[in-house]
Amino acid sequence: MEDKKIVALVGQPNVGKTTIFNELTGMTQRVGNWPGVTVEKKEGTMAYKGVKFHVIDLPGIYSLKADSLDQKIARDFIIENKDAIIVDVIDTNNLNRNLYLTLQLIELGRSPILCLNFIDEAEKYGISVDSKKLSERLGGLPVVKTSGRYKIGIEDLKEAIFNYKPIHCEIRYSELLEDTVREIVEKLEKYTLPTEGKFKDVPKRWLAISFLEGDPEVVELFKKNEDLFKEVKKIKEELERKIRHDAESYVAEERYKKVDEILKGIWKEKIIFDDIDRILLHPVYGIAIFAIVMYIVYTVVIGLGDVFIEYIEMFFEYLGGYLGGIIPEPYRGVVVEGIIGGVGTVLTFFPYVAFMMLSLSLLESVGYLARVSALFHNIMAKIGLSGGSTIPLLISFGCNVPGILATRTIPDPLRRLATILVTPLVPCSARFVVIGFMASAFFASHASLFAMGIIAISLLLLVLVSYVVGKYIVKGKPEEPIFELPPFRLPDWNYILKRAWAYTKHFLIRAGTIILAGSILFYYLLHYPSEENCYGMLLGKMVEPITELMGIDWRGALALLAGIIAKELVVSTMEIAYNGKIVEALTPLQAFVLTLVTVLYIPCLATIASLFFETGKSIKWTLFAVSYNLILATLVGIVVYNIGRLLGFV
Amino acid sequence: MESLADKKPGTYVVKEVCGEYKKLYDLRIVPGTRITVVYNERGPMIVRVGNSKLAIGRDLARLIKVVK
Repeated sequence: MEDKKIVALVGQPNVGKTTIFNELTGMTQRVGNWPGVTVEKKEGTMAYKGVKFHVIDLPGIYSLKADSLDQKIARDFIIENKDAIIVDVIDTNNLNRNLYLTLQLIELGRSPILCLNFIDEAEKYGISVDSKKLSERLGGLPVVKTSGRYKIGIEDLKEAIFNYKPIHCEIRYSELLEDTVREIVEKLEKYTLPTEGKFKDVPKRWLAISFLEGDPEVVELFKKNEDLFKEVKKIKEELERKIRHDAESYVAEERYKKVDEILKGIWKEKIIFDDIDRILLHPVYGIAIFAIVMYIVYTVVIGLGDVFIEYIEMFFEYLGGYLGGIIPEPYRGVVVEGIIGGVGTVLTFFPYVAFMMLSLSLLESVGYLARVSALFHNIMAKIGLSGGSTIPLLISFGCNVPGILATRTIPDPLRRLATILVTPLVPCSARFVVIGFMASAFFASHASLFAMGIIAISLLLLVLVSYVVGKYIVKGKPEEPIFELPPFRLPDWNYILKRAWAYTKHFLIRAGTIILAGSILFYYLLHYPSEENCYGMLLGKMVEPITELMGIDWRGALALLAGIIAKELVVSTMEIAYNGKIVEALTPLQAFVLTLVTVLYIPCLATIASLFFETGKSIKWTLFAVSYNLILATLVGIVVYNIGRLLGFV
Repeated sequence: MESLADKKPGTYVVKEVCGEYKKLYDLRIVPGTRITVVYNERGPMIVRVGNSKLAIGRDLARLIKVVK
């Protein structure tokens, strides 16, 4: 690993960076986390002409300022890896905005390879760019034209990476800005700053420009030397007096001016018009279209899922029968009832999860999900969230963990916190396993009504809790929204399948690890020392006094305890605890309450862990989320059970 | 000076960005940029800056001062 050169992909959101990454690394990629935070880190290996490169896909960022978590991660990586080969992926259609980031990379002393992506689309729209001249005007940076989707220019890009040599490249702005920067650099040479830390090797010119831009980390650094800070502050104020407005927007303006100067005569812009967004974002038609899209998605997911589920069920039944015949007596129970009963029941629901993630990835790939954020902003703002909360909440239907991770794209920290806190109320695929199992066991003729009822109650509670959290707990005015609406594109199946697989893989891994271990553990808890007097009963009975108020006996209570590890374990534990005869053991009312409580109570361990990390390791917020869920579930369980009994259900 | 929020579809030039909202700079909304209002009736406004399409909340659009 050490001798491999590092290649880092940098680029603004919606430039097709991930597709380029997939093309470069093929099947070698791994997804992990950046150290200390749970932001996804994608890595892979590229081999070209016998040389191996270690390729890293940095988060999509608009600029190098340390404003958001993503931008900080990308920037820190670029600063800390001085020898990395930087590939700056650019949407050719938006070249005049994307070069802003390129200029910042150059200010930081890097000489990136420019990868002009979506070249196929640009040519179709009649947008042309003279890449040779562009390279000249940028001091000789390599420029490659690509289309990740149609595999155009990928070999050229690999060749450029292979031949890469860092060059000295400097872009100069207006005289006034350059003079001011020089003055600050002089001060930096006169005074000393703490030399350790990540900024020790960065160009002084970059520090000067970042200070003028008000970069929070650089301002903090300068404050460490009081005399220096006083003097540079004076220089900044002097500049602001001359230009009669703030230095921050001045620096941004200067960069764009430079971009236009560079592109003059070599890039032809063409405005592409389409009208469909005025319907898709319309508060009435837009929501009607969203409802139809979601209805189609759910119908397809359930329809296709059912086809596969039948076969999976048949397979496990056959497997259980077969193994039951050949396995010696002492192990027969744990294998047939424990492992096949537990893991098998959970795996049966795999097709639903897979088709759900596939549909979401498809909607994302064609550009519809970006519209959904904008469409729902006003509604979300009313309940204390923001438009950016919509996608994390939609993803949470698959699994709360990636849902919580997706909140990092919400720029407003308070709205982000509020979204994280309410995410556990979105019923995830693991809970759909419980809902689906109970529906087919107890309410076979009204299965979809039952499922809809449970989902409706939890979403209603989500609205209520968001409102209360936004009003009394995470106060503050919601940030004003601005969303980029990427152009509609035909689905890129390669990308969709990879993305859907990344999500569904977790489901399979969980079934093979935590669900398997949990099924075995709870099988033994329920059968030792003896079936009539087991440890599980002791555990269940400890919680029974509370669950009894909701009509749930110790077996159900034990299943709920198991569900804290992973919600699917509620089903597998009940299968074992009730010996496969759950229908005779519970009344429909009890089944309804038990399902409802399972959906609402303590989030699973993986979700609790993400809550902890994504709230900045806050024990306070993690405890808050866990306890409100538990209290809510208990109250709802007791109320629903007792109302049900009053209404004459048993 | 009038704000973007009150504008009918058409192309305008940004004169000033009020307030402290830095993300606008990243999206190329700085003085001198040409900005096209595509839709401004119900829901968020839809505008174009170069070849990128943006949905902007009306309160945010009020911070962007434009001239014809």
